[in-house]
Amino acid sequence: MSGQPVVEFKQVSKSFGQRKVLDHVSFTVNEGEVLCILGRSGTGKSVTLKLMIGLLKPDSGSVLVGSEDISQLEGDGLAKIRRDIGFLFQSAALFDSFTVGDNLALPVKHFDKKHKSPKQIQTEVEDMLRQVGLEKDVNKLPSELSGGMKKRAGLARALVLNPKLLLVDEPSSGLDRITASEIDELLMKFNTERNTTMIIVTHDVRGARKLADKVAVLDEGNLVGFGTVEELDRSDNGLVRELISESQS
Amino acid sequence: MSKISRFLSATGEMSSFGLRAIAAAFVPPYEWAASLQQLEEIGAHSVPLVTAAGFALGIVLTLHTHATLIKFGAVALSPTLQAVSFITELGPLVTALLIAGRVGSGIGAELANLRASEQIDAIDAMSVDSFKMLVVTRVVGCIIAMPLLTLFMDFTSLVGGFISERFSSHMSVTLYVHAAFANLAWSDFLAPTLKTCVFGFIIGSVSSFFGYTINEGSAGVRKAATNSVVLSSLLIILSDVLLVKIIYFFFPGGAL
Repeated sequence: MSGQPVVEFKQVSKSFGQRKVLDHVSFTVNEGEVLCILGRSGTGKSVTLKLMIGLLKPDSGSVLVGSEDISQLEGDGLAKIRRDIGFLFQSAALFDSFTVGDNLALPVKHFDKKHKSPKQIQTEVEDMLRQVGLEKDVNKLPSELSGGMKKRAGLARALVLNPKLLLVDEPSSGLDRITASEIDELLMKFNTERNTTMIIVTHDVRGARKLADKVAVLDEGNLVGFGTVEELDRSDNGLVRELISESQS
Repeated sequence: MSKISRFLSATGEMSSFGLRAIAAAFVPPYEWAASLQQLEEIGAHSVPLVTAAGFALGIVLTLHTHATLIKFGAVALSPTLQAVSFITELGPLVTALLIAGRVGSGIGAELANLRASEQIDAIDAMSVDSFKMLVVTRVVGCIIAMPLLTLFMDFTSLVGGFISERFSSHMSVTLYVHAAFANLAWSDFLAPTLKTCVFGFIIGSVSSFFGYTINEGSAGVRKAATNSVVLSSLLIILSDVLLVKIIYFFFPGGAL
């Protein structure tokens, strides 16, 4: 389980105006691991994910993805790193005007158009949709999907290029417990089958306890807890114990 | 004073944003499919609005001018007045204002919604150039669509004018067309029609700027839509003053 480091945060700080969202945060996620990031709302969890894919730049510190500092990259260098990162947004962020199939085809066309025929791309898209149980919905628009289906379509889009790293923002938000559990099962399946490293921001402690190899707890811009679920259960920090407590579910 | 400096600063930012879009349009990969889709959305879908407005305005202008021209014994000049006023000024300006309302608000609201719902972030996260995919295609679509829509406006206003004239003075089509175009040179037609490319640039740049840069949730969508229409309409009218002066400078003897 402890392979090469895939993501390393080194003394990362990030502010928006006067508000410090991350304050000298450091941690490492290794290959194949699932890290769940917990914390109260507004403690910089989603910002952490956006820093990992270069949508935001840190004010100081470095964010290593593989061996590259993603905050220093632009253009082709950034595109090359992003090719190996999938991102499932909180709202799934499917393109309204595209069908589910076209949503999945977009990244494949962008990165592999020269090497793949339209037929191959279509086959890959259909295969990916089959894996998340949406094979019959390839021609539907996002507006025709339920919340859970949107999440599954978003997950399929994030995984269609078979990324080494998957970033997931609030996979269970807005979903009932059964649907949220189905999404968790899918994440576990892809982690096991593809050895995809996953970093999941969540408020769902039950899901986190089930999925996580490690848990990070953020509070007011500081990393106040980092370790396995068992280690955090024994943490000296009351907030960490409270956030990781099963009764939170 | 601070309002004026804010307006000038915003205009500068939007110009730079629009020029960046024009420059990006010439750099591969080209977004042909998305640009054609935008041309259809901005151009083809605006045709009913523009033709209906042109037809109605043509009738109204003829009704207004006919009575006045009769007083001066110059009723035969009605088609000329109609053609000159529409082709040189009213057609381009009214088309631009209509498109600023229909398309500008749409672009502003759509892009702001894409921003609010993280769809632009999703595009960037896939390393697809969201600026090119969303902004360049819309600015280019507006620039190409505007002169074409202006032609529809000019044509339907003359049709409306002719029908009105036909009912009031029984003028024949041949005579109407002859009278309408007798005093118009190609420069009177080409320069004002092509100036609408600048109006298209303004509509595309201003509305894309607000939509692409405002990130304030649903309130941002409303703000982007409103700002897009208000500022593009204002800039269209202000730039028209400058463009008319430039056209006068290059074609001093025109029907203008």
